[in-house]
Amino acid sequence: MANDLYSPDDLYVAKVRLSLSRLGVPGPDLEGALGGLRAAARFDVDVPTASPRREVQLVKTGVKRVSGWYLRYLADQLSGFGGALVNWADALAAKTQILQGEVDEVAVRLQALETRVARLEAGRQPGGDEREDAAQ
Amino acid sequence: MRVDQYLPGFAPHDAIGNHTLTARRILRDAGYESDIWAEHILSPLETEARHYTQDAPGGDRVLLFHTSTSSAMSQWIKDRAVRGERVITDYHNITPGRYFLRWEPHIADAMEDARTELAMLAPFAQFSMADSAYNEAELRELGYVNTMVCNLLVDLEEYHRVPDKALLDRLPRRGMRWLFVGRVAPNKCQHDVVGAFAVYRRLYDPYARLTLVGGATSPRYRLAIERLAGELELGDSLEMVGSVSDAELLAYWAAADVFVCMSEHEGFCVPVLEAMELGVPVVAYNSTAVPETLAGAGVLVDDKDPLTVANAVHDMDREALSAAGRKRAEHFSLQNTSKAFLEAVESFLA
Repeated sequence: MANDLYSPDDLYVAKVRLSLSRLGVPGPDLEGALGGLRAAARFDVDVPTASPRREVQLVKTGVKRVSGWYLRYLADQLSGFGGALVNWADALAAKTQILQGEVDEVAVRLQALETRVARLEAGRQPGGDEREDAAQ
Repeated sequence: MRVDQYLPGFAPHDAIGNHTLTARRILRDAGYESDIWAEHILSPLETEARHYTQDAPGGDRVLLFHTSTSSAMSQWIKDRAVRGERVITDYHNITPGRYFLRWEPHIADAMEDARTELAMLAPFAQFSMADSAYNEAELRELGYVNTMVCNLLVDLEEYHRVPDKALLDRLPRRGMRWLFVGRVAPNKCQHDVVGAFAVYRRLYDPYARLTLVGGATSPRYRLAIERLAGELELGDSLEMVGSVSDAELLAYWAAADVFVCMSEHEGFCVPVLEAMELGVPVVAYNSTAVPETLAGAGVLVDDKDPLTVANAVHDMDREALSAAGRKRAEHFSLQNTSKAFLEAVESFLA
């Protein structure tokens, strides 16, 4: 019985509206943000040593060799932390996606109901919108 | 007297590239020496232009710089102006970076850089042309003073060549055929066309088909449109054909029943002109330069709601729109635009 409340066409139009609203500009983009987090979660210890001055390049190379073991130790921990952060964000994104799907379904049904109410209201008035009838 | 044209990207099948080639012909026919200089020259145009850093002939000359993207050439042009060379700009519009921020952040940055470069050149451009009044207003906002609207040079006769017959024969004849032509880019809002088409197909014509022609500026946005089509269960009623040859494009135009444009940012919109020239009715979103190009010869919608757009397509008077479009396209005939272009350049030189 509950399904009779909703016209399939109204449900479809509501679904289209919802899908389009997600692509509007600029809008949040969870996937893009996760991609950025993944890219930033790796730490590079290969410090650039290039310099137009030879003596500066030699100093940089020396410092890099001397401190390499320390930087690697630090970077391993930071990369581990970054990886854990990405996993947490992935789990959160998956959970959010499920919730979003449920909210979307309710939103689509609500919008379809609103359309139906508007059509019924219009039908009560002389010269009601026939186009809304055509949409059924 | 020389009028040399400079542009960042010189590409075939490109509105600005074609405009530049036509402008050179007009200038040469009028007795000026004129060559093309570019930063990126795409095949097969290598013989038509030289890299902008190559030595240019000296003497009395004007530099006509086409602005539309970010380029190291902007600084180079500025340096020339500082040294006393005369500079004219021809503005073809820059898409606001915000449209690309979500999909291709590097393009968003490039667009913002382009706008900064455009502003930088304002004090150095002695005269500036713009494809539309909309573009001209943008120039004035950025501090350009001596400006004039000078429509894009488009050879509309090219659209009356023979279409790709094999393709035309292959295109299904049943159902209303929607068409949109333009790069797959977020500002073009192909997703809104897909949404409106989905509603139209559902409510009015299950055999309707939509073809989106144009290469992808944003691969991620294109992917999102493909996903949207899947969500809306459009199956093979939607075809994204990418870049096509001229003959193939003509086949798609020949098969089209309506051109639906939901673009939010256009500096002129050549495909609207193509549609009008070919008598294909236009239903478009009322935005930026589109109403100016269309000038009442199509249906403008202020609301992009998919039901509104679907209803607009369903209700349109095809014959009246087709006739109005053809009449409006006459205004942009190459004869008219060439005359206006030459007059604009000569008004400056005088």
